[in-house]
Amino acid sequence: MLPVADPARAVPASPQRRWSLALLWALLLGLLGAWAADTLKVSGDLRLFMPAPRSAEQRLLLQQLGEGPGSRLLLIALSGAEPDVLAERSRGLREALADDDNFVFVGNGEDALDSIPDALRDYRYLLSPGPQQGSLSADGLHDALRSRLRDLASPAGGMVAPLLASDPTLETLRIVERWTPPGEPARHDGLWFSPDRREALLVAETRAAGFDPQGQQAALSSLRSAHAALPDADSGRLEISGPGAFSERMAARTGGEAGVLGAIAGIGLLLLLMIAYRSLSLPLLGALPLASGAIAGLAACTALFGEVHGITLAFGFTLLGVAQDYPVHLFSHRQPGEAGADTARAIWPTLAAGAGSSCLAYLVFLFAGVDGLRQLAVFTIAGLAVAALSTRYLLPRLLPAARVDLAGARPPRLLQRVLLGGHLPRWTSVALAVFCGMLLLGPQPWWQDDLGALTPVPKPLLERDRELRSALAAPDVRWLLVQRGDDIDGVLAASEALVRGLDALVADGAIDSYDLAARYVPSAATQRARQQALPDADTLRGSLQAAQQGLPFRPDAFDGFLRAVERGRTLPPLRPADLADTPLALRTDGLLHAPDSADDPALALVTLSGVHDPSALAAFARQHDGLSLMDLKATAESLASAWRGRVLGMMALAALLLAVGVTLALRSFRRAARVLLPVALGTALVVALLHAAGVAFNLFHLVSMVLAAGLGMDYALFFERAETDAADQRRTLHSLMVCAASTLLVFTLLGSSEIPVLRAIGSTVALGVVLHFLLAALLAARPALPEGPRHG
Amino acid sequence: MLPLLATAGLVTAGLAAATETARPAAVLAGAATPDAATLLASIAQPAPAQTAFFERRESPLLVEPLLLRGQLQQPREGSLIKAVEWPYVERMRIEDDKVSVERDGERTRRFSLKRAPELVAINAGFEAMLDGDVDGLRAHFDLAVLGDAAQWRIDLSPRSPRLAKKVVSMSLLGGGGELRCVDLLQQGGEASRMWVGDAVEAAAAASDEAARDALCVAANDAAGG
Repeated sequence: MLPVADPARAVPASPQRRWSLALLWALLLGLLGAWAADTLKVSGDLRLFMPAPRSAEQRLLLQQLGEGPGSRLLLIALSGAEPDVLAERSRGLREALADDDNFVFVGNGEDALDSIPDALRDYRYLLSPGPQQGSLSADGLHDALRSRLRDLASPAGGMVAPLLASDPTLETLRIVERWTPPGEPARHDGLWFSPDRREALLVAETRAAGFDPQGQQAALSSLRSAHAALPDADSGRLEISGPGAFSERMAARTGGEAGVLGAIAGIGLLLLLMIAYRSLSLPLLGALPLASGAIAGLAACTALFGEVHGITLAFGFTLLGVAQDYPVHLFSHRQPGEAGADTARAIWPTLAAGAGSSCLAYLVFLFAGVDGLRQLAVFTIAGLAVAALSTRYLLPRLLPAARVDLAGARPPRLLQRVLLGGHLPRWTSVALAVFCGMLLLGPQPWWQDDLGALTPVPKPLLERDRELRSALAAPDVRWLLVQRGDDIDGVLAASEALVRGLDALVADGAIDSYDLAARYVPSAATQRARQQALPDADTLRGSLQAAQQGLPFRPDAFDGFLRAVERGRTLPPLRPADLADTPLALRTDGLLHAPDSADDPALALVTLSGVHDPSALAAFARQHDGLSLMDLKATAESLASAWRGRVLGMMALAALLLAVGVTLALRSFRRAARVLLPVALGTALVVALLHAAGVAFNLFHLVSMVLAAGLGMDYALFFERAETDAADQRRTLHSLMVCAASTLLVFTLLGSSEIPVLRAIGSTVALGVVLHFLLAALLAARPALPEGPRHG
Repeated sequence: MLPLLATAGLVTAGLAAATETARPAAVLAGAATPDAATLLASIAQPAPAQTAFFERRESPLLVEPLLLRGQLQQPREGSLIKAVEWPYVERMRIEDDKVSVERDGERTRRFSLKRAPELVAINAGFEAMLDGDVDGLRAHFDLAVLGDAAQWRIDLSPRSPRLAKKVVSMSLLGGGGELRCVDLLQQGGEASRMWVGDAVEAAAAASDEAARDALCVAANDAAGG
């Protein structure tokens, strides 16, 4: 850090020295920023922003949100050509992606032999529904062998030929049939299609978790390039839906629009500051404290956490917006002949009171027990502190000598006359509070509890997703049956026993289809029963010999089959843990949850597709021990409301700390009350007006209100500055007008966005700035002293 | 029988045209290269075409080959039916790259032609036989012609490694304006020889395999090939 400014030096440094200092500063920032950008990992895992789950359901929900099959599923629709052409493309796409490491599974309705991992082939007699009654008897084998003989003779038999010698009853094919996702979408030419045959449908399960933006991005781009490489793909349309596609799309759209709006706002801001200060260098220099704050925040997060959630960054940069006002205060309060350092020292108590009490308030979030909020606290505190300190100690050294006294500018004079002429009577505050209270009684819903609202997806896309999901019989995102038990094999066996009842539910139309882990890995007991049903080597050899009578197979043609059945008889039953590193593991992992601790139950999930009658499901769940119907939506809402309650509690605590901080800084309850009253009233008004306008609040609103309150407190602190003369009051007015105008400009632009997040932030802050500015001017300002020299 | 003869002609006609692109190994033995244009003009017949076939299938799993009889049909272009009539009934239908197999007492199997490269090639072979689509054949195989108009053999070797994984080679044998036999050798030792056209009855009646194989060589002129 550079040495503290020497108060004795009244003459600014030479321009060369000033500019080289500024360049050095910018360079250091650049280096630090590059390090942080290089080291920092931005995560999209929403769970960083959620409280620790309390119930098993909530824990399950969080797991499902991130890693469950639902969150990794991409739904793909190909359209824009005749069904036959689309079928061809569907096949081509699947073939191209079959070996792609980004995907665990790509399905288009076609069953493929190669979906059975080699390591599991030996288990075929344990995994398949079991050789059908008598199929390994002499008669059954004879029928199978006769069919295989015909396969051999058929040009179409090439598909089963590789299996034939070791698996003449084609158990392997039956396993593949069993493993293909349940439910039966409409088909054309054997492939999944939308009911109107205009779209070929596929599902792809990514290897990357749903919240891993890089992994999802990689999967999406390889999907797109595979489609682009198909013949005549130009004429066709590829549509991808699902959580991964949504987050990519929303990130791109939000990023793009925020970028454009940010650029416009930046130019507007520069123009505004150039006009306000009649200088080009001041606006440029004024960017340094904010940039320092942002980079310090990033660096602090990098050093402490290594990984930061994208929302931390978005919120953090938003909250740091207060720091843009710090250099403005410095610039507006300068007088000709006064050294920058002296101005800085003069405004420092006020500036420090604001920044310091904000930092104090944000400390609360360090103890929120939520990683995302901890990161946010570190980012904001480091950012605000560095921005304030650099405004105090570094920026003044770079300033050229002031040429004009802004106390003479016309707009502040006008505002001084209009706004600060007299003090509002006390009852106005009470009246305002009552007005707020009345608005707040409105019947509109208060909260937007939908977790998805954090990264809102446009409704048409969601509807489209629902349409594709139902056409593909993809698992319902809301309802889930959960079987509890002591251990994995226990829940496997219990859920296996549900199959008959589930089939009845399908038959009755309560659901369209279902999926459960026992479909892939039967319970140990079932596998053992199947093993016991397998004939011993001698019996099978005898049956096979009898079966071969009258057929032209070589006597030793099926030795591989005999060996395979014998192996199957003696293998230890396959356990879900044995599936590790096979594509099936990802399927079963999402459906089975081993207990985390001795007290936790093991869970087996039954995912449901096309839920038509939740009450029938609830009744079904009641009839079975340890089975419950879980409503993910209700659970998510309970989680969201728990989380919101926590955040609100923290915010209340932060407000309290803020009040303490302001009181300590001003060393007077009276003055603190003067400052805090307009802030509190302003915040109440923002809440009341938005509520009256029918806005359901989400996190973005809350964060925006915090920013607005922070700005409002700065306004109030500066209006309240004691012992200022009328000229200095006009300088303060100038500074606050520039602050408010620039903030209003930026956030009105954001508020014009069509993206809900940006609109929420923009409109809330813009409204807040206007209200806080007016209230601070009317309620916090003190009558100015007669004009004279600065009193300090 | 006529369409079959026609297609055989088409094959040879196409082959004649193909020889300039054929590999150096292609040998045109004998003096008289079959006159493609004339053959084409005289025997070309549009779909639907149909012929009987007699097939002998060999496999390492079998002690004796499997013998089958049936019909090959081309109801329209781009469509092929191979109907086994004896010793059991089975109907394989290829239509627009889709394959279905119907068999007594079994569920109909359907799949895409694209999934079975060997079927694509074999289908192209039959198409070439039935409607003279030599281009289709050349898309999958390198062609080599041996012999003359009276007694010829066309060897087809797979062009793509993917196909070569399934199919070792195919051959068409014929002479005197007539296709007689189609050979197919698959990886893994599966082999098939199919007699078509006039050779079918004689093949079915033949007393042993040697006599049957002799039918693939021109009846009146065994000196060729």
